[in-house]
Amino acid sequence: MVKISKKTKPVWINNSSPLFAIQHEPDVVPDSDSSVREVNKTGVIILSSGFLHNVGPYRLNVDIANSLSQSGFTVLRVDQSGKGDSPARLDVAGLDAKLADYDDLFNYMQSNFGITNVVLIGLCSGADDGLDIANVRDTVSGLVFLDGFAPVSFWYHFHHYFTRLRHFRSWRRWKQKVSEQQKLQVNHQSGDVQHSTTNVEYNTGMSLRRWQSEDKVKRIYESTLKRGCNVLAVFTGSTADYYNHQGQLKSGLRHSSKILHEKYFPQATHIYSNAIHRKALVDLIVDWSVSVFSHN
Amino acid sequence: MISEAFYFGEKGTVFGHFTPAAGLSNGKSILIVPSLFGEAIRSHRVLREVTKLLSSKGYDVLRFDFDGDGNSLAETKGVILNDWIKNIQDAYAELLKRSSGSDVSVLAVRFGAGLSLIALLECEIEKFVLWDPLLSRKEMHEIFNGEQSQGSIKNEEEIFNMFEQPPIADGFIESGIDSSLPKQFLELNEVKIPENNLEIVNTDDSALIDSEEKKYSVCSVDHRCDWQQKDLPVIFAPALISKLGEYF
Repeated sequence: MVKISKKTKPVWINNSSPLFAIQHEPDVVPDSDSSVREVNKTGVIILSSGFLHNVGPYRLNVDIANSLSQSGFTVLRVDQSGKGDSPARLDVAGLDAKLADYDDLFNYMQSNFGITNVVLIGLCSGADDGLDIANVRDTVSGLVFLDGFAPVSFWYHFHHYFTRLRHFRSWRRWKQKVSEQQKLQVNHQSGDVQHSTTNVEYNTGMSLRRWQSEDKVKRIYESTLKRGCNVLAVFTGSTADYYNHQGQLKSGLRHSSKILHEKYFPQATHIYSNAIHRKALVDLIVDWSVSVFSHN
Repeated sequence: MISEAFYFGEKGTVFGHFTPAAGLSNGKSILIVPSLFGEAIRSHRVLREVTKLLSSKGYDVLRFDFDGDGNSLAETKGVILNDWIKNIQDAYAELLKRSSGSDVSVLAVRFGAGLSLIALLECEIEKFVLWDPLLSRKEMHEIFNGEQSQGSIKNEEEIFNMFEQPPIADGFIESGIDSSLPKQFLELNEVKIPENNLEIVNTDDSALIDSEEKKYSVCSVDHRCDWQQKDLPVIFAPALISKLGEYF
């Protein structure tokens, strides 16, 4: 269980177009010679997911923020404009609003904590926002994508059909069960991800998660990696409609660089509803962040 | 309108969000008591919008997160039911401290409804407005105990689930609470339902509220909130927001 730092406080950032965030200051540990260990100059911003506010599903964002702050990182869990307690921006919308939010958050971290570069963490639409921001802001030096984009490759289709052929009888039973359940299902209430067979055109209907063409997103991804932005991409079993095996992202991007780390949790759900999976994810993010950014 | 966010309570761990009346205050205030865990996440947006509406009508409003949940500073593990009852009482005291008036009404959701009727029994409350309230200890216990699904692949279904999403865990059990907590609902004092100044807003087909036998009115809103859903769809229904706001 993660211990919660007392250096956690709510903040409003930028009075003209206010953003609400919870700030986690790092636990600064005195060294043996009683001088104070320097705080990491890499800050972390956890973006909102879908319509959820800064707490995240099952307090996932709280757990990530607490663990990272104990490892020396300054963390902001933010309600992006128009979500949670942050009002929508009146001056800009769409990508411009996301960038304006990021600029305000980065300036706040820079002036208050001397932060020089930032890791963005996002689940679902938060992952998509992170990629859009990293594409045009060089101060983003790290990205943690949780169920973000992955190209649907030949090997995706191979795994998809091979598994069904191997377990043909049980697959047919399952298929019948699902179609029976679907007949009984009521409509969804809100903008969570709807099923799609590929991600070539992926649209929830709520304009929250809209991937452009696969080629375009691939190009954005590749240029972000090319400029040296470290990426930790994590996928769950809930992304089975576009991701189904470890290494799919790397092979799809044809990127073998060491700055792209990929992890597949096939048993975890999209919202990490199981406490064991949540802990594994939090540990993975902390280990990766410490190993990549501890030199700062 | 910028609200003030802070921590309060005996241990300074309860997360509060105070929104003063926008413009001229009517001297009245409203305490919003949320539900727990997944239900609190799902209803957060509605409660934020209701807060804005009530503030524009001249009310001071306080929202808060229970210990061990949301933005509170307390760890989830180790929280007991009495902590949550104390949180409601602390929130009431905090609202009186911050608000310009002393007339307090309560808007409470699900678990928050039943718990606030227990916690504020001795307090002077002008009106209770309860959204899909859980009003009996048994009901609270049963729903909190939930399905006890573990949110991952079960052995017997392993083959089937290889092809589709793993099951979503129950929001309460998987939130990291102590296993003894659900039982504590059965040890609660009986919920005493006030005979006057009580309004109930019903948005859930499964809520068994019989207004014939009981002395309160029930209003159904044209929006169905399926609280049993475990995949955390955020509830956002303008009809519900205006209905909740109409009672004040």
